[in-house]
This record gives sequence, structure tokens and C-alpha cells, in this order.
Amino acid sequence: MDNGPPVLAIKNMSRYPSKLILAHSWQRCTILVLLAGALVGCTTKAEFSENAVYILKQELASNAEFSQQRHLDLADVMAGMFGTPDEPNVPKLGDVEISKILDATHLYVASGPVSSDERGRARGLYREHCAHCHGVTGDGAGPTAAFLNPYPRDYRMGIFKFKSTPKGGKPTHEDLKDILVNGIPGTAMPSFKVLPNNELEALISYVRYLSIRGEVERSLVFLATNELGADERLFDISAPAEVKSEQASLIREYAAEVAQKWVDAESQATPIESPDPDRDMVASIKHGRELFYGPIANCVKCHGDSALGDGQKSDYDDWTKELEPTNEEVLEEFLGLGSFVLAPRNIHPRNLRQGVYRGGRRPIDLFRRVHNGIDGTPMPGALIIPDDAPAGTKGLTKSDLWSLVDYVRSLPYESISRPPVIEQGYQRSRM
Amino acid sequence: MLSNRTACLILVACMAISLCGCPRALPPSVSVNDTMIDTVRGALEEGVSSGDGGGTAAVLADPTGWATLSGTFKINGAAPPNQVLKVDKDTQVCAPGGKQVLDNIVMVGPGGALQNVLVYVSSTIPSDNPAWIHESYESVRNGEVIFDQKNCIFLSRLGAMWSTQTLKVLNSDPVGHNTNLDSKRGATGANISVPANSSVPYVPGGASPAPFPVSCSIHPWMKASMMVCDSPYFAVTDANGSFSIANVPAGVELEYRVWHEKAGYLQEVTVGGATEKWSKGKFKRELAAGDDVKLDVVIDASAFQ
Repeated sequence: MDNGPPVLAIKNMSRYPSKLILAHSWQRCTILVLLAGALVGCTTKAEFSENAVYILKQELASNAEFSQQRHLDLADVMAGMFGTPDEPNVPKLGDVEISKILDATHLYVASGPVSSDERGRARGLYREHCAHCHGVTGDGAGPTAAFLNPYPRDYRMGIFKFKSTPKGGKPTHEDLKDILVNGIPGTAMPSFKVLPNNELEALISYVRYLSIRGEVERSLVFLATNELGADERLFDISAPAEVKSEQASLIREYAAEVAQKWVDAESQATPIESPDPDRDMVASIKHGRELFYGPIANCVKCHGDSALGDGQKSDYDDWTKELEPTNEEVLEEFLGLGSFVLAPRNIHPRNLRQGVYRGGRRPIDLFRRVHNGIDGTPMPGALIIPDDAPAGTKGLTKSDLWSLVDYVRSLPYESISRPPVIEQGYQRSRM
Repeated sequence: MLSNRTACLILVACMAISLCGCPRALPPSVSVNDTMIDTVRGALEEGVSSGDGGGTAAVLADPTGWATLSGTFKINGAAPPNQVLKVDKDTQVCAPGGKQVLDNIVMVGPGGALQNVLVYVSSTIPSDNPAWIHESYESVRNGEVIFDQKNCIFLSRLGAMWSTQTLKVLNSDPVGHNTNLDSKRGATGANISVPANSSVPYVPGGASPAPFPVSCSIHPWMKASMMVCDSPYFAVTDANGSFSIANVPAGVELEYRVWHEKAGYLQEVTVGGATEKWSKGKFKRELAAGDDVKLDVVIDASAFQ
């Protein structure tokens, strides 16, 4: 702690006659105490915070209070398994090949306060680059979060939108790297292309770590509120050995389930074959347009008659749905937890006339979005049928999907996507 | 010289600083001390080297035969009225003739008969062991379960299936739907667009730890719940409030769980007139081979408020 100012104050005071100091000593004491308080107040060690929203949600669902003992048990288990923001830990989970997804050295470099060692190697990368938006805990509620639209991602649900794996699958290493390198167009998420590769790797590991940690916490809250009896402990360090080992193995089982999905993701990317490069583009776009407005792909229902993203504006994403935004009474309770609960906003389908696509603008990026849908959002995946399916089979072939991609990519260049031309007579002349 | 005025000003300034310094409400955190971390970590990792990912399932004695568990669910008192849904899309199909559409969360029949109560065996059942799965279930093991939607309403407000089965998500409407099976754990989640008058298969790949919500994002008022059980021993009450689970393993004590979308796990009930407290909706029964046990369960309407 920097205690400079109070010392200076005392030195300066020594110049005044002692009588005066005594006369006003109560004032000075108060000033000193307050100054010290002001300085100490903001220098506490970084701590992971509890998922208060999910705990309240489970309390409401199970009609039972999450007792003080539960809070303590949960904090013990989480710290035991995952460590602290300054000293993260890679949990040992038996069969799960966790070293494939979490690297202790990476975690060390990404965690802790922003600093560097004597050789200039950075530490505290997450807090330097990410925490102000995504929060120390990865809850998407850092100090700047409330000012952003869309809000930063809360990793703890374990759901990621822009990835190559099917619904429910975790993002691959490559997916996370793409996001870090390219940023997310149309949002506050910038590109971190300038960071050296090892620092990007460290951040990828750390995001996985925070996500796994957050999802395990949710699982354990679920276990405590839905499975355990009111007087059963989540984890009791002073319990007899066999009780303790049973508790530990149940906890590991829940944690392993989460971590395993990250290991599996690496081999789950949807395989994509390139479209025919010599296809008739005009015909493909025309076919894509028919599909867009047709009853099979049904894009028009949400993206709207003019593809402005105005067909369905009253839905929410999964993170917001957790707050039950349509139930005013319950929403009030969630918002009452504190300012880290951000006011709900509707999720809007993408305005396809702007040419800004959050998950990337390459054809393959758009293909993935239509093929798999977007996790955590209302955007569904397509019903895929084989290319040789008998005529009349309901669904979309892969080549149909490429036509949709071609059509969507053509939308920003249609004349109605451009700003209206203003007649010269009405134009303001430049001075 | 430090005048009273200056002192007061500094005082106020200091107070302001100390008050404003950290105004953001942070989510609660329970501090853990460092020595505790090592102790807990040691205990959590004890005996874990490799090959021990999860707990070992308790070995149960094999059942001695088969029994039937059936019964009725009734509500005592007035159930909360169902809400009118805001149908503002595809109205010709979804609300033909401007008819009112209700959410139908609590469906009560004559005599208080409560529909859509889920009863399932929550004990772990070795589902590949013929001593545990009656042969009558073999024909449905890999079967199809239909989950239909018509006039923009899920025809079953509560669906239930065995994790080995395939759910045929039907769309009997002339408009497209998308069915968002929002399972976050166990069973895989799916959000698939279901073209008009067609169907999409959903293979859960595993059991869900609890019922999960089903919705349609094109028509946001459409809501239902789905449970994927890891055994065939489950039932949903019908319009008469009755359910029946045939050929349940007998001679072993099984844990059952009872759930309703509005009330959650049913906890305070009377069974055949006697009060029972089902903690988190759980109750245990051991049925003798050949038994046909009937449970007449009454739940107070207050559970549905």
C-alpha cells in the first residue's frame, strides 16, 4: 500500500505549534483515518465472486434458501479446485486430459496483477486486456460492461456464440483464437492481433479456465440446491474420511463433466466442404433469395421482410433469459442483487444489409452460422438433408446453404442497402 | 495555518473520496484463507491419480421381480388461472378467428385432477442389464417419441423420454417453427428449424439432470418442458391426473422424483390422506414382486402460487 500522503501530512503538521495540533487533533485524526480508509479501501486482493444470479435462481426454483454453510462450502471447494485470481490452479480430474486444454504456465502468465518480471515478461494479461469488460471472474460484468452494447460475454455459462462446433459444443482452440485475433465486428470486442503468440495462447487458456470454473460453480450450485438434502453438506473438510471422499468424488464427477466437453470440442468442428467455385453466382443468389423467404429456411421470420433484422425483436439471449425478463417481479429481485446485474436488453436478429457479421464475414463463417445456428441465441441451426435426398424432402442441402450464404453476402450491395440519394437542390453546400 | 474552514473542507473532501472510491456493487464473495485452500485441494484430490474420474456407482442387489406404481395427482383448492398469451405473429394459424390462447401451465380437470405431473425413478438404473429393464421396454428402447406443435402451441406442455429414444419434433402447422430444446447438461441441447408440416429428429445422447425448457423463437409465447430420463421408468399424468409406471424393478428400494412445471419439485403432499414431506420432490418406495401400488396424492393449491 502506498502510504505516502499521510506521512507527508504529519511532517507538514510538525511546523505548526503543538498547541494548534492539539486543538484540532480530532479533525486531523479523522482526516488521517478517512484518508487511510480511502487508500486501503480500493487495494484489496482480487477475488472471484460468487454467481449470485444463479444462486438466487436456484433458490427461487427450489423454494429453499442457499444457507450460509452452503456459501462457505462452495467457496472452499471453488478455491480448492481452481485457486484464486492471483494463483490459479488446474484441477486434477482423473480421466479428463485437462492438460490438453489448460496449461498451468499459461494460466500463471495470464493471471495475477498486471506486472512483469525482471526479464520483461508480462504477467496479469487478463487483467490488463480483458477484466475491465469481462470482469475478474469472467462474469461479463467488469466496470465498463454497463456502458457497452452488446454487453461483454459472461463466460460462466460455458456458452460461446461464434464457433465451429454444433449446438452445445464448446469452442475449439482455433475458434477462440479467431475471436482474439479478429475481434468481434460491431461490438466493443477489439482485435488483439498485436499481442505476441504466447500471450494469445495464455489468454485462450485463461478464458477456458474462467469458463470451466464458472460452469463447474453452476453445476455445484445445482447439485446443492437440487440433489442434496437440506442438512447434507456440499463438502465438509472435518467429516470422517469416507464421507469426505464420497463428497470429493461427487464434486470431481460434476467438474469432470464440464472439463470433458472442452477436451471433446477439439474434434467436433463441423466439417465443411468448399462450394463449387464455378457455380453460377447469379442463379445461386436467386435460389438463396427464394430459400430466405421460403417456408423451409424461414429466415424472413426473424431477419424481417427487408432483412433489416426487424422480424423478431422481443426475444432474449440465454444469458438474459436467466433473469426472467418477462416476469417483472422476479426481474426486480435479480436486479436488486447489485449493479453487476445488467439491465436486460432484447436480442435482435442481425441486420443483414450492413455487411457487419459478428462471427466473421468470410463465407465459411456465415456457412457455420446457418448450418449450426448460434448458441445462446434464438438463431436455430438448419435442418440438413443429403444432396441426393428424394425431391420433396423437407430440409436444406449443403448447396442450399451455400446459396443462402451467397444471397446474404449480396444483400449489403443491393441498391436499397445504400443510403438514399438526396437530390442536389436539397443538399447542404459546403462552406 | 489550518483554519476551521479549511479543515472542514478537507474533512468533507476526504469523506467524499472514501465514500465514492468504490461505488460499484460487486457480487458477493466469500473470502477463503490460503491455508484452507491447500487443505481443501488436498482432500479433493486425494487418491486421484488416473482412472478415477468420477465416483463409483453403488452396487445394488438385483431386483426380485416386477411391480406397478400408479396413482393420481389432485390439487386441493383453486389453481391459479392460466394466462392469456400475446399472439402477435402468424395469427391466421396461431390464433384463428382471434381466439384466445392460454399458456396452460396448470391444467386441472374435474375433481382437481392435475395434469402434467412428471413422476420418474431418479435412482441410477443399470439400463443395459435385463435384470433391471423389463423386456416389455425393449421394443421402445430405440423407439420414437412424438413431440408435436399445432396452432403454435406445443401439444404436450411436458414431454418425457428415455435417453436412448429419439424425439420426433413434429410441426403440424403450415408455418415454420424452430424448436429450442434448451438442455445445458447431460442431454445435448438443440435449436433446429422445423419447416412447415415436417419433422426433425432429436437424439439427446444422455439424460438431463432435470426437466429443461423448450421454446420457439419465431413464436416466443410457445413454451413447454422436456425431461430426458436415464431409464424407461417415468410417467406424466394425463387429463384425469393419473399415471402408471408398469414393470418397475421390485424388491429394491428406488427413489422417485415428482415435478410440475409451475410448482417445481412437489414437496408437501398427502398420500392416501397421510401427510408426507418429499424433500426436493423425492420419495422412496420398495415394491414387492407382483405388487400394484396406487398412490393418491393431493397437493395444496398454494404450491402453485
